[in-house]
Amino acid sequence: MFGQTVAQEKKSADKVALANQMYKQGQFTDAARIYEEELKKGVSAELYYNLANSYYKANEIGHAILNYERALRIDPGFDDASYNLQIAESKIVDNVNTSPTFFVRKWTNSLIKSYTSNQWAVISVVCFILMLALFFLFAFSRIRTRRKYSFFASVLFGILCVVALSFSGIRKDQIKNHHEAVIMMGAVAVKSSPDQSGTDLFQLHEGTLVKVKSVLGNWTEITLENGAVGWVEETAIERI
Amino acid sequence: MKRILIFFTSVLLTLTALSAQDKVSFTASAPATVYMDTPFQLVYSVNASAKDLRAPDFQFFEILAGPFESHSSSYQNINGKATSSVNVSYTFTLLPNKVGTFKIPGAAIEVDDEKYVSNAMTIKVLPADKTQSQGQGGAGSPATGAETQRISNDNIFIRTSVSKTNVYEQEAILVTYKLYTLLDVAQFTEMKFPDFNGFLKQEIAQPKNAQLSYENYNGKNFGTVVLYQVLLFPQRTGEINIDKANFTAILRIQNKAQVRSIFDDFFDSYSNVQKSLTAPGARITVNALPAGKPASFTGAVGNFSLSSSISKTNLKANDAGIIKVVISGTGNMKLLQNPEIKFPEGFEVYDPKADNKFSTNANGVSGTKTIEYMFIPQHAGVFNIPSAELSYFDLNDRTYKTLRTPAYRLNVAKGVGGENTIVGNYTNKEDVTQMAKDIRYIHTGKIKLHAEETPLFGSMLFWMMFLIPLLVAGILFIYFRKQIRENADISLMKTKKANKVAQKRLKLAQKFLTEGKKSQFYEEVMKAVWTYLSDKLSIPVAALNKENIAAEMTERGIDNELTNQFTNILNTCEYASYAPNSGQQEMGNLYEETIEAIGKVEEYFKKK
Repeated sequence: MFGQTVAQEKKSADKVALANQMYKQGQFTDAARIYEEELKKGVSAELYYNLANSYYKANEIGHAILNYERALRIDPGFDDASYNLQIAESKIVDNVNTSPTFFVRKWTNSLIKSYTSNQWAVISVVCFILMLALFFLFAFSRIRTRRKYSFFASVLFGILCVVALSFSGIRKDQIKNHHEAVIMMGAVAVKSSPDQSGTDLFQLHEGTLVKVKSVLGNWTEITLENGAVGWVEETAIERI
Repeated sequence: MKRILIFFTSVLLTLTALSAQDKVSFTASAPATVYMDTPFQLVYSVNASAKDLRAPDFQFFEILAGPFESHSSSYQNINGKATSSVNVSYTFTLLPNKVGTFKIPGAAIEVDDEKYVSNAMTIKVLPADKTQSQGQGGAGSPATGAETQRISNDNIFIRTSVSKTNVYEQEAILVTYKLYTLLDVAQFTEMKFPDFNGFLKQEIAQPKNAQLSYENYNGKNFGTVVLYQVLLFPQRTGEINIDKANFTAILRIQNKAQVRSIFDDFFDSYSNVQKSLTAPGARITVNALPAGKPASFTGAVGNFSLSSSISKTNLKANDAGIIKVVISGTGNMKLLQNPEIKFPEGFEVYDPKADNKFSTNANGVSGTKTIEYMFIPQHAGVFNIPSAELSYFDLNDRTYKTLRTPAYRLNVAKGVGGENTIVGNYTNKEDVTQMAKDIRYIHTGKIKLHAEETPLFGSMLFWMMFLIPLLVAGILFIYFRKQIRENADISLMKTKKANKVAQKRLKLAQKFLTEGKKSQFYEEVMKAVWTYLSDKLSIPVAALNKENIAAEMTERGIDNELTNQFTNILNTCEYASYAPNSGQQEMGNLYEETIEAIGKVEEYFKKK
């Protein structure tokens, strides 16, 4: 059984090497196909990154952004992926203007995305332990200034713990329910209702990142970073 | 009167005119090339009336006739300006009787009791032309007679001569194209030389009106002239071919008309004939320069010398100085690079200015290259300028040689405007500019696939991570609290009992006081104070000293006066133990003071 997995791993490594070679020779679509196949067996930030690069080179910006986001979901500290994502985003047609009121929301969202759910969980536990330690210092120290500072620090870590805890929960929810999606069609009209007869509210183009609010049949309700809400057909987007 | 004046003036003018030609010239002239067994004329001429000609020994030339003396004189008066000239010439007719090059020394002559010597002459005697009919004296026209009139490649051709065929890289080769002709060449309409691929070429200028010189070649005496000369510097190693050169010449041929009119005898008629000529190519073997090139070798080949000078070695900061380096010699001067001088830090250095004075001749390019290095020291101090190096390959020794300029030591004094007035900073820093943006390359390292990680949040383990520290903290908290409470109980008891214990001890002290037992009294008072403070302030006995007590009292907000009172009591007790002469009165005072101090502390704590 163990030998079997080793053999499988080797086979998979060979395939990835083959795809890398294809990428080098400029056969981006073929390389992407192999990467996709491999990703059915499991996940890897690097593999998603390679796949995204292949799509980018094959000029499929939607797929490229989707897979950069997937790579960053696994490893938010993946520097190359965030750099390439930035470059890929510069090729998107849509420019979602973020008004100041939505800036905080955007900033919080990017903060939540800068760590994985588990990393946030660990941070919250560490903060909790620090909070307890500082509380002990406050409770049993006889020096007045030390008591004062340890009290404030303890409170601060308590707040941090709660924040990290909630971020961990939010991130888990985002990941599990695939809250984010990328527009995969060249251009798609966003409707006011989950129906073809609904009014066209605005148009979105390939590669734009949206948030999924709810699903009704094969229609998905999405929100943009600027707060705009509308319905698109499920086929027009792909969840990260 | 007037007529006499005119006469004198004219006489004076004549005299000055005559004296103008006072300079005597005595020259010998003869053809440079003569043929064997063909007589020629040697003429000595002098521009004054002379006497007593002494001809030199003609050695290999037989005197057939001479000397014939001939005089000529002329007198001219143009617009009142009179000139007169006398010319005397002595003509010898000589017959060469040996082939070779001979020198005829100068002849001597006397003019106005002064001796003059003519120039010496070099005469080349060529063997007799096999086909040439005996012509008149000298070698005026070798191209006469029916035989030589025929246009053939034997009668007119161009030879290519190469000075060396096996050379080193950058070693100069002289290539000469020389015309040999028995015919009359009017002009060249086309001269097409090869492009000398693989060489750096340097043409040698030929005189505009080249005179034919004569040369015996294959038994014939040809008129020769150098058409083109070029110096070649090989730029690569291996076999290099020099292609053929093509020429088109226009020849003047005398017509041989069948019907001869009477005029033909008087007027020869000529016609121009075009003839193409080809000069053969050559093959040069170029050897690479041997190994062991010095670090400063940049390809100089030849023979050079190096000298340098500096404008001044004592100068002020921000004053310009110049180092002049002169390279002179022969070789591939044009390819010489400026030797590098490593100026110290803090010197502003300008691009060196090079001045070339080269001349090209058959021996190669020679001349001097003067390079001026201008520098401006920006700070005062003593600086060393290292020597500059020039390495070259010496063709005579076949070795590399390195020349060095002397090193200079500069004394730089402070500049007038201070050292802050740096003229400029010419370091050109260039910003790194992003030319294009592209995504980063794929990850090529090992990739390990794994299952999607399950989030910790909400799992049992996650909540346990909070719960366990909380439980530990709770247990610890309760334990600590209990400990503290217990400690607090003991000290509270002690504090409460402190006054009683002190009173007990003081009572004993009072007993000693009445009995007059001094040392016991003081000891008891001291003990009473110590134990009281220890209990009251919850200071363990081990840590009991005056400083601790003072510190604790201040922390608890007891005023300094009371603290000092306690310190005083303790001090008095300590001293009194060693001073037995203190009276009853003092002991009584101390006793009362102690009771008062303890009373005050009690009062303070009660208020609190």
